[in-house]
Amino acid sequence: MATTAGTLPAVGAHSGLWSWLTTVDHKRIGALYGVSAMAFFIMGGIEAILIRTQLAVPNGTVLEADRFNQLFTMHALTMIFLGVMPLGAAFFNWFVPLQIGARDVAFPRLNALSYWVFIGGGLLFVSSFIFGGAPNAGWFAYAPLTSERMSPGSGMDFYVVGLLMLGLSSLIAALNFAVTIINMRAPGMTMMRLPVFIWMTLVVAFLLILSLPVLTVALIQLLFDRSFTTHFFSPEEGGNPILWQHLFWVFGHPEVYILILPSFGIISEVLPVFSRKPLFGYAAVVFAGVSIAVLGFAVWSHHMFTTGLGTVPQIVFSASTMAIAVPTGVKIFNWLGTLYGGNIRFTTAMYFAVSVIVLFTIGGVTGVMHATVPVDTQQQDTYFIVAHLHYVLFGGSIMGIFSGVYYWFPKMTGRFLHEGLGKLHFWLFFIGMNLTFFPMHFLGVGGMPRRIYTYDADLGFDTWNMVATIGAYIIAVGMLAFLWNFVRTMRQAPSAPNDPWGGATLEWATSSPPPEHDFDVVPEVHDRDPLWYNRDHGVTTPAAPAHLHIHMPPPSYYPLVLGGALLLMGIGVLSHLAVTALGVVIAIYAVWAWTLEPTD
Amino acid sequence: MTSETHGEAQLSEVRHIVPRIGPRQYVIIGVILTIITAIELWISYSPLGDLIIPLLIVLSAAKFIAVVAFFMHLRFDHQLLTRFFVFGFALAAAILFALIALFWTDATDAREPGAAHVAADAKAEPKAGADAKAGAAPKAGAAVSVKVTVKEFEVAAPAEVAAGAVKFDLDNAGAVPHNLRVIKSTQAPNALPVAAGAADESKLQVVAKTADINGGAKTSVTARLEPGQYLLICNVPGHYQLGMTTRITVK
Amino acid sequence: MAAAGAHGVAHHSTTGIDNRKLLMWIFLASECLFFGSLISTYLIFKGKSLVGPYPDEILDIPVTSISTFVLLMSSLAMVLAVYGAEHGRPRMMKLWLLVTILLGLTFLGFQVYEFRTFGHEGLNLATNQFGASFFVLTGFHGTHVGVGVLILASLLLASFRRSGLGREAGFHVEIAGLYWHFVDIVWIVIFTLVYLIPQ
Repeated sequence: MATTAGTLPAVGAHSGLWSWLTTVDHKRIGALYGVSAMAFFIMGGIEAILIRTQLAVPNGTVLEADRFNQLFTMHALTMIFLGVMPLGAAFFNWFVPLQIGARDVAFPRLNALSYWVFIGGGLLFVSSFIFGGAPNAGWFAYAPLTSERMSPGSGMDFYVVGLLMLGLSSLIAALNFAVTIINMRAPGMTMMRLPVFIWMTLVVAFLLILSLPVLTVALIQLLFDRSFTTHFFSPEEGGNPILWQHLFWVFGHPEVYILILPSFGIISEVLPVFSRKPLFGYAAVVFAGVSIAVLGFAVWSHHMFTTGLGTVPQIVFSASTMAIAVPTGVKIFNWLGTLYGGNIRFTTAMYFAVSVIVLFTIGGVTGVMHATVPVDTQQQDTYFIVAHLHYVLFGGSIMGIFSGVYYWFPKMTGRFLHEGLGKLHFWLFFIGMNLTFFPMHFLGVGGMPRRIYTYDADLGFDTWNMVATIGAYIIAVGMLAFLWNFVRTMRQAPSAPNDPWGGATLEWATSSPPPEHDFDVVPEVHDRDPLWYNRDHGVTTPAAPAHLHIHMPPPSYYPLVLGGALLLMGIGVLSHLAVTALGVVIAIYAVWAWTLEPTD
Repeated sequence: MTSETHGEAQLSEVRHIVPRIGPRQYVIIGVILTIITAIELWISYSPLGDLIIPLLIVLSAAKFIAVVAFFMHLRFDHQLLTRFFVFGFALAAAILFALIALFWTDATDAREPGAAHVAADAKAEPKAGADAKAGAAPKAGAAVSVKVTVKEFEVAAPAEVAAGAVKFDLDNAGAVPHNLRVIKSTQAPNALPVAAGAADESKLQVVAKTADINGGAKTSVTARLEPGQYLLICNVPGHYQLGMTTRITVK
Repeated sequence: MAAAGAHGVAHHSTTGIDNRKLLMWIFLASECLFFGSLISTYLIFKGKSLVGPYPDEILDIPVTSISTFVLLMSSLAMVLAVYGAEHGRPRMMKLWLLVTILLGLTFLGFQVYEFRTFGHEGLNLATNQFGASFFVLTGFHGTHVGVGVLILASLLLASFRRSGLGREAGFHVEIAGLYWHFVDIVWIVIFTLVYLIPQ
C-alpha cells in the first residue's frame, strides 16, 4: 500500500494474489470483507428488484410462486448475513486496531480464518440457486414447513450448512475483537475513553458470542429432523414447532441489535466530527448501548405474539420490548444534542449520518407499536412489519454504513469519493427508500400479507405497490451512482492527508492509507477524542526514531487451508459424507501445523 | 518482540499466575468430588420425595463451583475472567428457566394405555355381573353395550345411553390405528384443551380409555357412567383436531 | 505498547491477562449457551415421549455413575498435569496427561457402550422425544470430550520433541486444561438433570 513520505517502509510482499490469500493484516482483511460484502449487497438488491418487479402490478407474471419464495428468503439471508454483518466486519477489521492504538488484532491468523470461512459459507449459500434451488421457507425458516416432508429439496439443507458456517465465521471474529478491545488498548486508553464505535463493536462481539450458540443448536436440531428422523420440531411424534421459533428468536433478536449497533457506532463518530463538537453525553450513549444489548436477550418472544404464548408471557415480553425503546431514545437525543449548537459541515458522510437519526426514529416508532400485543396481532405478517424492518435496517444500518464509507474512504484508500456524486447517491437512496417503504405501512394496515407472490386487482393494493416498486428502482440507480463514484475515484492517484476531516480519534494520526504497521509512533491518549485533546493541549507525538524496526506477524496460508477444509466439511454434509471426512482430516492437519508455525 | 519503548510502562505485564495449591490439595478436592457423587447417587434412590431435586441441584452446584474455582483456577486468577464466565453461565441459566416456564404444562402421562386397561376390562365385566346379581345397582341386568365405530376421521356412536355400567364396543373401520377416550365434559366437542399435538388428558376427566387398535380390529372397555355430558374422542396425535370427536349424553 | 504478536503472545496487555487465556474463557462463556440450549430442549421434552422406551426403564444409573466418576478423576489428572507443566516437571506432566487421556477414552467407551445398549433395547434418535434429545445432548457432549482427547494427545505428542512444549509449557497445558474441565462440569450438569433427577 502507498505510504506518505517520511514513514517507515513496511516489510513483506505487498502485491499479487498470493499476498492477498495469505494476508493476516487487519486492513487487508477489512478490504476483503468490504468488497465481498458490497458484491453480496448488490446481489441482495437485485433479488429485491426482482421481488418488487413481480409485485408492481396485480397478478404479476415475472416470477412463479416457488421462485418468489426463494427470492424473498435469499434476499433476507443475503442482506443480513452476507451484506450488513460483513460490512460491519469490514469496518471492525479496519478501524478497531487503529482506534485503540494497537497494530493489529489479538489473533491475526484467526482473523483471516473468519474471512475465509465467511466467503466459503457465502458462496455455498448462493450456490444453492444452481444446486436444486435456494432455501424457500423464509429467512426465519419456521417449522414444520422446513421438515423433510414439507421441504423435500436440498434448499433447507443449504440453509442449515450455510448458516452454520457463517455463524462460525462471526463467532471467531467476535472472540477476536472482544479480546483485542479488552486487552490491546494503547496506554491511557481506558474503557471510558474508547471511541463509541469501539464500544459498539465490543457490545456486538458479546451479542454474537452469546446468541450464536443458540442458533447453532436450533440448526443442528433442524438438520437432525431433516436427515436423521428425529422429531424436535414436527408434531407427529410429539415434537413442537414453537420450540424452533423460541430458539431461533433467542438468537434472532440479539441479531437485529448486531445489525444496528455498528451503524450507531459509526454515526457516533461522524456526527461529532462534522459538528466540530464532542459527542453529547458520551457516558449515556455507552451505557445505552450496553443496556440495549442486555435487554435484547429479554424480548425475543415479541416475534411470537400470535402463537398463543399465554397472557403472562405476552405481558412480560411486551413490557420488556417497550423498555428497550428507552435506551435507543437516549441515543437519539444524544445525537441531536451533538448537532445542536455545532458548526455543521454538510459532507456526504454527514448527510447519511443525519438521515439515520430521522429514518431509524420512524422505524423505532413503528417498533413500539408492534410491542403492543393487540396492535401487533393485526400487524403481524403484514407489510406493516416489512415497512418497520426496512426503516430500521435500511434507514438505520445501511445509511449508517454508507456514512462510514464516505467518512473513512480517504483513510482506507488515500482518495476522496466525489462529493457531488455522493450527494446524488444520498438523495436517490433517501427518496427511493421512503418511496419504497413508507407506502408499505398503508399496505399493511390495508391487509396485504407478507410473502405473497401476487395479489388480486380489486384489493386496494395496486397503487402503493407500484409506488414501492418505483422507489426500489430509484434505490438501484443510487447504487449505480455509488459504484460509478467508486470506480472513478479509484482511478485517481492517492492524495489524501493524514487527517482530512479534523478527526478526533487515533486513526487520523497516521497516513492515509496507513502503513502496514499502522502507526510509526502511537500518540499519547489522555482523554476521549484524543487527537482533539492533544491539539488543544499542545501534546505532540514524537517522530519515529530512525532505526526503529516494527515487526508485524508474517503471512500464513493455514487460515486459507483450514477455511477450505471447513468448506469441504460443509459440502460433504450436502453431498457425500466422505467429503466431510476428508475435510476433517485436512482440518486436523491445518490446526496442527498452524499451532506449530513460527510467528516471529 | 518490539523494541518500541513509548508508553509501555503503563500497560500491565502479563503475569502467569501459578496458584499456591499443590497436588495434595487437588487430590483432597478430587476425593470430596467423589464423595459428593456417591451421596448424590444415594439421594436419587432414597425416599426423600420432594427434597430430592433441590438436594441434587445444590450438591451438583457444589461440584461445579469446586471444579471451576480450584481446578480451573478462577479463584486465583484475574477477576475479569470470573465475571465473563459467570455472565455467560447466568444468561444460559436465565434463558433455560424462561424456556421451561414458557413450555410448562402439567406432566402428561402420554404412555400407551395398553396392558393396564385390558386388565380393567377383565375386572369390569365380573363387577358388572356381580352388581346385577346382587341387584344393588339401580339398573338391573348386564352392562349396556354401545357400539362406537371409528374411521378417518370421525367417531360414530349413539347420541344417548342409559347411566350405569356401559360397555363401549370399539370397532375400527378405518385403515390406520385409532383409540377411544371417554371424557366427562360439558365442553363443545372440538373445544377441549390440546397439548403436544393431542387432547390434553391431564386436564380432562378421562373415565375410560382403550389401547390403540389397528384398522379392522375391535376392542372394548366398560365404565360406570353417572348422568351427564360426555365426549367420545380418538386421541391418537392429530386425530382429535381432525374431527374424531362426538358427544354422548348419559341419562 | 503491546506487541501484536501472532499468537496474541504479549509481554504486556491492558489487563495483565494473556490474550489466549482471555479468549478461552470468553469461548467457554459461549459454550455455556450452547449446552444450555441443548439441555433446555431435553428438559422441555421431558415426560413428553409418546412411546417408550422411557428414561426410567432404560437409563443405567449405577453404570453411568462409574463413568461420571471416571470423568471427575480425569479432571484431577488434568490438574496434576498442569501442575507438572507449570513447575518444570515434564515427566509428571507427561504421565498425568496420559492418565487424563486414558480416563477420557474410558468415559467415551462407556458412552459408546451405553449408546449401543440403548440401540439394542429399541431406543434410537427416531424412536421418541427422549431418544432425540438424549442422543443429541450426550452425543455432542461426547464429541467435545473427543476433541479434548485430540487436543491433549497433540500436547503429549508435541512434548516428546527435543524442545518439549517450550518455554510456555505450563501455559499451554493450563489452557487445554480449562477446556477439559469445562467439558467435565457440563457433564456434572447433564448427569444430575438427565440421570439422577426422578423421571
